[in-house]
Amino acid sequence: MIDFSQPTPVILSEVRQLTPTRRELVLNMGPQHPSTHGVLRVRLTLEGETVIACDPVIGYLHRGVEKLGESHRYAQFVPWTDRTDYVAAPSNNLGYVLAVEKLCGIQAPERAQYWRMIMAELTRIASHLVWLGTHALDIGALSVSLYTFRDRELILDIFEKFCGARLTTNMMEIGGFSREIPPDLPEMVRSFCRYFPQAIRQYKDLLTENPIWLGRTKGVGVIEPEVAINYGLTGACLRGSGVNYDVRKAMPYLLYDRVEFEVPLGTHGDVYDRYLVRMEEMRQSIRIIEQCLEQVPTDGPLMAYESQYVIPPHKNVMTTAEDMQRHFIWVIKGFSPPKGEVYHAVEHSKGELGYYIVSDGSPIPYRVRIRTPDFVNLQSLPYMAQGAMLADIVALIGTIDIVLGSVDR
Amino acid sequence: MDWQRLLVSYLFGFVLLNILLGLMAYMTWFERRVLARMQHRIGPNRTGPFGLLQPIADGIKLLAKEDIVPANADRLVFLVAPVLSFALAPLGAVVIPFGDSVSLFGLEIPLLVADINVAVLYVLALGSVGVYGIILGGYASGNRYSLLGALRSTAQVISYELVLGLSLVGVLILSGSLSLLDIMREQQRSLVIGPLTLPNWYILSQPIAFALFLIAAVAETNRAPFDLPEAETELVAGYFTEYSGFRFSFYFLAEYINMIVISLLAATLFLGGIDGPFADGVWWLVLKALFFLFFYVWLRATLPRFRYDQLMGLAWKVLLPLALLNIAITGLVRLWGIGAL
Amino acid sequence: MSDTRLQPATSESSPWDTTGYWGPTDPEQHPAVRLVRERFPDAFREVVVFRDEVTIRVARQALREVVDFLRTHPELRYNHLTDITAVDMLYLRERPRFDVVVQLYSIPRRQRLRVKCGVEDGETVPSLVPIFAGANWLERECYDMFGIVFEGHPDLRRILLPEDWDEGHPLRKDYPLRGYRDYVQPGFDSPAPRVRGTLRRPGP
Repeated sequence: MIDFSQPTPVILSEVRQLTPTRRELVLNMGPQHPSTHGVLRVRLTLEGETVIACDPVIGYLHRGVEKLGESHRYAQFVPWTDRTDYVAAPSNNLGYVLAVEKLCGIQAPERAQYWRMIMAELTRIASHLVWLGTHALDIGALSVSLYTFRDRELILDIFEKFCGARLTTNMMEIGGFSREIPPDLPEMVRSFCRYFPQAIRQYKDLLTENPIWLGRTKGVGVIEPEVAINYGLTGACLRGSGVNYDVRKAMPYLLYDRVEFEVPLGTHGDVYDRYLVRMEEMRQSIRIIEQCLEQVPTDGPLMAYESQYVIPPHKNVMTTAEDMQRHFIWVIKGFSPPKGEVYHAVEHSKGELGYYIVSDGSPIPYRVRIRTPDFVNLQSLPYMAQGAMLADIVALIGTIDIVLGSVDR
Repeated sequence: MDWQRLLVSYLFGFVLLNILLGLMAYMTWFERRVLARMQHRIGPNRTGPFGLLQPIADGIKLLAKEDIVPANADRLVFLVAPVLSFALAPLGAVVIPFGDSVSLFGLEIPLLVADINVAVLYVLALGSVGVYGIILGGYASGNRYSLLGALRSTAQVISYELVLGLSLVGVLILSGSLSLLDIMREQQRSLVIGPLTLPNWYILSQPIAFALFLIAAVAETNRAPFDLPEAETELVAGYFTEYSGFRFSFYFLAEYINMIVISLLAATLFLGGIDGPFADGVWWLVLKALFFLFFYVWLRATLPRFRYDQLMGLAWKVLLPLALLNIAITGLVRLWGIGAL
Repeated sequence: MSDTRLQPATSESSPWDTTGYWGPTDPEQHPAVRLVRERFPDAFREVVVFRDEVTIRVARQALREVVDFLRTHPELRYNHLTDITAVDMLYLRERPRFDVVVQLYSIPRRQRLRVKCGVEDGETVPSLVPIFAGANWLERECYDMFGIVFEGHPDLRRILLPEDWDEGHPLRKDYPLRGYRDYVQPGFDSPAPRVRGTLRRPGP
């Protein structure tokens, strides 16, 4: 029991004890500000217009997801993963589900893996559209944000058809998908793939060669490749500096080794290069989705029903006594995976999303650790903000591409 | 100047002011609808047919809001500054010629409030005085961020005023007069270039000056892409953050009136005012001014914002030398008497 | 009749075991295991292999040297710090109480590795910030959630919880899920209270 008469010693930092000199102004970009991104607070020390020190303060959206993971069953935890990075929920589900499948040693059937890939790539596009919209909006190009959200609606319609929800999809299940794919879904995805390149062209026309955009983003927030690796950055922040690390290519999961795609790399490591990298990633995602749609088997099992760790098939649950009992126990008590610990990472749109699960053999995980890319990427904000001007801070927060639900968990 | 002409002048001014205020309110409607259409949305369409009652609804809402004066604020200046801004804004429309004279009730009524023979100078001077509203508002808010935002805005406005003024010197060289009525009449003549007979609009003979004027006009009114002092309300408080209710709307509407006045000016100075291919009249002026207003909204929908140092660098390092170059070229051409100029 | 076949509950025979993303699953052949055991014979504790993952357990004081060795050795080059976290082993073993887990990744060799060390409550762990700049916030989060102090960290303060929060470290196993206090939700009738919540009776 904690002794409340003695407060826990908190180690104050040198940063807080530093009082600004007379020429410096401490400015608080508070937790609520119109440059969306959620509740991020940045304490800036300015000298005139230039930023000398920048200290991001997070934790306003901390909900204790990892603690909750220690009191929910494996299958119950999936909706919690949606809520970490809420603009790209299916990717979060995918990471967790793959980690649990690794722990149990099962693999979903091929058809389910193709559909998981399609959904993951659609999620990547949806997340990049939100990034582009908010980033452009912060820098002042108002219309781009409305165009990206218009196109994101098409993806959200696909999600809604697939699983019933637009934002917090709870889509992936341990072992595959328990419900059959709607028959008109492939055509819907195909028509989106036909439409989307022209939308990317529209954003490109508005932004890529625009001198004002170039002036705001070129040379801003440069991060060198060695520094980026040292900070543990992943995703477009790392690839914008030229380091070729994409989990889909380096350690392919699902069936990424069967589809051809390229990983775009930047050269200078500034905001503009990261912008180009993410735009190209959207195009490559369309390429992957098209290949998956060609390769996916049109019928076949969607769930690894032969495994004891997976929910029994619905038809059997309703007709046979054994599976009804198994279903009851699976839902109420949960399944008991082997003891051990796994770490599995997927390439989320923001970087490497890793799940570290420690299992003690009980139906409830012993520890679920979510290694979110935004949390680690946001650390580099003080580095990138050195020598930046006040108006650049908004551009930098946009280019790191954070979602506070993912940073704070 | 006898009392009848004075009375006519006052009446015309009164009518013009009312039209201008109505136009300003509906300028907000215009902007919201056009901006929405460009952004693939609809814009206000529920308050009245096509959302035409929206400005009235906004006005009522703003009037009904609580009038908050911060405790730190310099009370008198805080209350006066937005009024200053709003009062000075329509004064620029006083010198714009809406046409040649009409006869009404046996009187010759010139269609402009005051035919000042230094009209261009008057307008530029008004622009300078208009800065007071901003700086006083920023200072009086008692908030250091408002002051910084106001200082920034002021620096931007006075830098671009220079460009504005210098870009007009070319027009003045060609027209030989500072009076807007004279400039308008000059443009109604013809310009003969080889086989073509064109109206002598100064956009044709002073294209660089036109472009500079347009850019400077956008910067003067603190509109996108030069709206960093305002949009920096996202990061830092801009100069009118501490204002609420109708005082805020004073600043807000002053901006729109400025836009309208500058559009009318641009139409008069460069596009010939009431001159048109047939049936000269005020409708041409209105059409041209509408085009400029549309251009303002178009810019806001399309372009991202300049960063502050880029904005100032653009004014001083690019636009100002270009304006001086334009003056030099125009002067030389006029000196050597080339062509019909 | 149900036609579902049940797999035996063993952790072998799985397609996950042979990916090779963590190096050879035989610890004797794994270069990191071999080199670390040679270089730090007294700090090296054990190696654990599960599925295809290789975990090296070292002594707490040697953590920074081992990680630096792994990063700089030309055959190993684990230059990317993926994660630093901790696990409270209160229900699984007596001592030490915590496990600090460092996930490393080698970008040129495309291989992952996990390094663990056991920490007792109150003991400090050498910080990895001098080696990896990215360890900064990760270690702050471990401190915030578990109370593990990282020695040599330049700025160790709470990150996710408020800086002056003194009710303990939430991810410890003896910390109740709902915390120690009930906070009144500010609502329509009751504006946000400025007082601390009331202490709850100990419960789940």
